[in-house]
Amino acid sequence: MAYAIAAVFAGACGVALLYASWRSRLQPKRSVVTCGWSLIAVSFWFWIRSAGVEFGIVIAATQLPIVAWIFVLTNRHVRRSNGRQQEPAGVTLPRFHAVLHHSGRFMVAVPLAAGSGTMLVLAGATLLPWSDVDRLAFAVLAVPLIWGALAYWACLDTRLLRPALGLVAGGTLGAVVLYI
Amino acid sequence: MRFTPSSALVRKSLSSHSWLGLTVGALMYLVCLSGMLAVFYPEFERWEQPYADEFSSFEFREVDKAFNDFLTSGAAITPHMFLVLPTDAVPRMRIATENESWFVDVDGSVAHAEKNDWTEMLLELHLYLHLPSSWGMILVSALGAMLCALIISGLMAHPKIFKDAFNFRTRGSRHLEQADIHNRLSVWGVPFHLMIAITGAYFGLALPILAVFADANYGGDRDAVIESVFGKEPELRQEKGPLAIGSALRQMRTLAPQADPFLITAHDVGEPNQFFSISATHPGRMIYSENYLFDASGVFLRTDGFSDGEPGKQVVYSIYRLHFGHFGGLPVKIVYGLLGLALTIVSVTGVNVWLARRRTRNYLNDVWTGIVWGTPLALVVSAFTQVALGIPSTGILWLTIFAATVAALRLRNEKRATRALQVAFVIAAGLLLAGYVLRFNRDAMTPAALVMNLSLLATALVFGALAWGRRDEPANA
Repeated sequence: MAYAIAAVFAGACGVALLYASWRSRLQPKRSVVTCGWSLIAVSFWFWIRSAGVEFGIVIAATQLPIVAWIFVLTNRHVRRSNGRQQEPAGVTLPRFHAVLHHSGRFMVAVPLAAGSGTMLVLAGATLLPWSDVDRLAFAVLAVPLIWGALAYWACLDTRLLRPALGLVAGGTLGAVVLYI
Repeated sequence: MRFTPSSALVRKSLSSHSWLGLTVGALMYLVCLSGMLAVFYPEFERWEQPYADEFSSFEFREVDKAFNDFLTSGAAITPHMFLVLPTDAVPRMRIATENESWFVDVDGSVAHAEKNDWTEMLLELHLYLHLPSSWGMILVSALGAMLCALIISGLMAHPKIFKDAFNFRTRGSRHLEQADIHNRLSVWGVPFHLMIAITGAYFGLALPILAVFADANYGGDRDAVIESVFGKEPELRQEKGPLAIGSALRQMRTLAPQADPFLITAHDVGEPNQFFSISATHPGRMIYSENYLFDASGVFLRTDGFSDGEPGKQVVYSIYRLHFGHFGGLPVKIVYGLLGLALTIVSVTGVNVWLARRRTRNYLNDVWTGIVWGTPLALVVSAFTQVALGIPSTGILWLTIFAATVAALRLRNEKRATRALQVAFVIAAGLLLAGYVLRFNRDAMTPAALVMNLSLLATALVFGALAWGRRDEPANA
């Protein structure tokens, strides 16, 4: 219990220092920020001592945003409404080309990125000097992240064909490594 | 070294972030809102049936007799039969087949059938969006991957997000207000949001990934891959007879004195190869359980190795509790609930920012208002019809969301529609509380039910305060 209290206190003080530095209330800024992050690291250590490594890391990571949001709330600036109104507009149907473009982007960013990401990750996992169970565990955790990154790339490029071809090539390369 | 994205990259990232957010916004909102509530599903289950016997200690002999009597009672036995033991989180005992479940009283007698239809509806909304389970789970998992994409694109699109970490401007420009809420909640919540996205995607992606893995490495034999992770079932030849559950539970005190048994699973009941496993949590460990396998006569066979096996095995078996926050008791659940609420608000404010940046408003503003404020209303209305009137809740939920959206479209004013739906929520919550007390009488005052009812009352007060705060706002501002 003492460790848990110390962890909450250290985490709160760490975020408070970051906040003080952000408000330029404490100087020198760099030292205050370093102290803030160090205290947050100390709060992780206290949580680990209190709840064990697995629970401790997760609890510490969830404590940080809660404390930070309290400071964000205290920094709330209520401003006068600008009174801006949006003009009502009638129903406009999207143009055929726009529908086609967005549908194409969806196909590239979702199913194609999923397939390509899965192949690339599984191929990468196959090359790791691990057991099958570890490879599989790595793959199921890495696929959503890589899929997400590929989907971002697919949406980033103004020319849809480029990411589409890149994803097909990446997926094919992954399949070759995986199956041959 | 400092990475500063070019203004072109920032612009494209913002456009990419908007596109991804608008594509999945409504579904993401439903999954986040239901997920925030699903953290408390054991509490909702207790709330739905407050009359079930609750206890924490029990006689091994009584449990043994109750389970074996049930297996020979002529009830519809399925290949896997379950005995759910009371825990701190859910101090109730149940006997279950693969399809049904019954409570067991402290004296070992089988009591009421378990019926938590509303909680199941809530879980099915979170896990499958009420679609057929296989497709629904893949869709929800895809939303996990899209959440990863949104996090990456969001960080790339806002190079000043860390510099503005404590900025919070309300009122003023609606666009700035919504953007500040969106950015402040998301930047501090990034580690949690990323963890939720990855662990959430696991549930639906595990099987397709396993299928490709099996295809490439095991000649398509998926069972072989599953066995490599979850272990192979023991091959036994025994006389038919009762399962020595009491003896096995006694052995657990020496096999794993620190472990906390919570589930007994009987495999191939009544067959020569029948055996059973005791699943137990280990203190300080995120794994869902370690499984201790026994033959029918209670001879310990082995564990499944989730607590001390290969790292991958331990990681995979830790995902469930990590995703749902089912470790560390109620305080951790409350923190998960708050962080889940933050993610829900992030998904709403993201779309709000896009709507507020437009020069004009149209039906999309109203549809979005109907979905956002109609869903909490729909959850309460469906709980009322299910718990108080016994009407299945899935249809009611979607009908209410549809009706709320139609109402918002007819009002053509977001603020008035929001206020109307908030007031409707307060009325529905009042009806639910009254209906609950009328139906369950004294059982409505059990601690578990009281906590949930007070939480509902507090939520209704918040909605009421929000509606009250909007009473003087000009209708078209």
